[in-house]
Amino acid sequence: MSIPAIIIRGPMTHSPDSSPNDGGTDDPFASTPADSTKPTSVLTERAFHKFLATLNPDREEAGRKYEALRTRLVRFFEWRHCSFPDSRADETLDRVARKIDKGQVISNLLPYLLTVAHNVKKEVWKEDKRRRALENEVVNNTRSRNLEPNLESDEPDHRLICFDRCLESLPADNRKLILSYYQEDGGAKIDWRKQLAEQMGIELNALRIRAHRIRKTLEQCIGLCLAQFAGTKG
Amino acid sequence: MEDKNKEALARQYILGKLSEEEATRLEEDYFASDDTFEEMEVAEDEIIDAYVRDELSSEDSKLVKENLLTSSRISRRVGFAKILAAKASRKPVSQAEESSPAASHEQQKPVPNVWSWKDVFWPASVWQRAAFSALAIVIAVGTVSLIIDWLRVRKESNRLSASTAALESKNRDLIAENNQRALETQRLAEELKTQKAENAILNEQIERTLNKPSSAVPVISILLSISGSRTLDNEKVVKLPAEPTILQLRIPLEEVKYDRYLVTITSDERPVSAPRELKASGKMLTLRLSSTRFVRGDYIVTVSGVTPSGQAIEIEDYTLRII
Repeated sequence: MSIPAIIIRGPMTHSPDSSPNDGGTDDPFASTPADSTKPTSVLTERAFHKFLATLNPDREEAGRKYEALRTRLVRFFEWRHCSFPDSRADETLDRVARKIDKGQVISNLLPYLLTVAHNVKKEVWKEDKRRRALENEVVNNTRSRNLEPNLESDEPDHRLICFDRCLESLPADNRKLILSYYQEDGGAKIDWRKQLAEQMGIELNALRIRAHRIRKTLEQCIGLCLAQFAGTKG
Repeated sequence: MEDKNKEALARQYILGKLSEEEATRLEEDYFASDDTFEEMEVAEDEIIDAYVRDELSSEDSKLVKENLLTSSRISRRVGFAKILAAKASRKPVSQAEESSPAASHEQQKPVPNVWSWKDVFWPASVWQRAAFSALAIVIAVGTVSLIIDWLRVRKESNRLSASTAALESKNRDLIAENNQRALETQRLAEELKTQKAENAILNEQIERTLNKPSSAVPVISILLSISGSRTLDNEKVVKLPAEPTILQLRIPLEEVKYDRYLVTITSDERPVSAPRELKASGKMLTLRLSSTRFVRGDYIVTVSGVTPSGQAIEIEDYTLRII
């Protein structure tokens, strides 16, 4: 897995800055006032490497952990209904990395990371609330129009083409399982899935997990396929 | 956590219905545990799937729209979920989307049916397009080649038909010409036969007239011999007289073995007159013919002895030249 040497964040107009001039406080609960106009500082290569070393002495393993943490942070911000979850996740990691770079020893990284994430979340909520108050109906209309914004960005033909192509690329058993799993809806769905699990000789929860993993693979394939179309569209 | 508890908790968390304390505890769990994190992702699948199939309560549906669909990743997942639901239930994709809450509340672009002519004839992959283009070119070239060959064969066939018709026509003409010639030949042969018959009659009449004792017709006596002929006046060759004359052929015999002799005169194997039966006078046979029977040329006089049973036995050939 390739690890970026330097993580550079552009000016985060919607995110507060974790100013390096915060007096060296180690208290992750100390949140800085939101200032969307102040750009964040660039994370140096040294700071990044220090952070990776904190995750694991082995560089490869550290990279994997970094990605796993980032994924969880993105989900965290999504499930906590924050805008721009990817940027928020990066900001969280950057803040932790800067702390480590300054010499702070973090004995228990995960709770510390979560705490910083919560701080970022609170800042985002404040910012979103302030923005909604200013923009009012315009913001609401934008948000409501953005209900499924990215559905419009991929042409329906491409999605269907990619879906079929990726479905076909699955092993036959997996293809059959995923289509069977989602065959029924409504009340019949639960019973059908129980029946399916019994036929396969596994627990219903194991079937859920298996279907999820196949679906994830399918979605990743479709994502790559759509990226190819976007690339050829130029 | 019990499975069912975990599922319910995860769903509540994602929808934003847990208390802050409960949410934080869950977060600590899924940050630390891969299994719990996977459970969270499964819960997200199920919320999205239920949303697409309109199986959520109106409150939960509203929470999804307001809180989750702001994320581009989740929006994209909703699009995928619609297609998956349609495929799995074997409904057209457009029908599946019409039943989803997003479509009922928002104006969206209609999603076309799965099957597309464009997808069939112009696949997305570059190598597939290249293969399809190459196939199309081969088919086009093959078709053009077939058309050219067909035109050529048709032209050749027409030419052969015309040639055959011409040959048949010529054949008919030749047959007609041949028939006509055969008729002409037959007519001429009959005419010749008639003429010969008339000539023979005339010659006999002439000979009868010339042989009358009162007649003052000159007689050319020709003494034949085996090695040639001689006339009393000129040996070997006989000049054809201008006026009708009696040619008296005198044929000497080495011995008289038979009572009767048959004499035939031929020229180019054609008889000049009917065979004459003669009796020997001494050792000589005498034959009188009108000169009108002869034309310039070579003649063979064949003498045959006739046995008492009537059988003719060739004895000798004599030559005669008329000039």
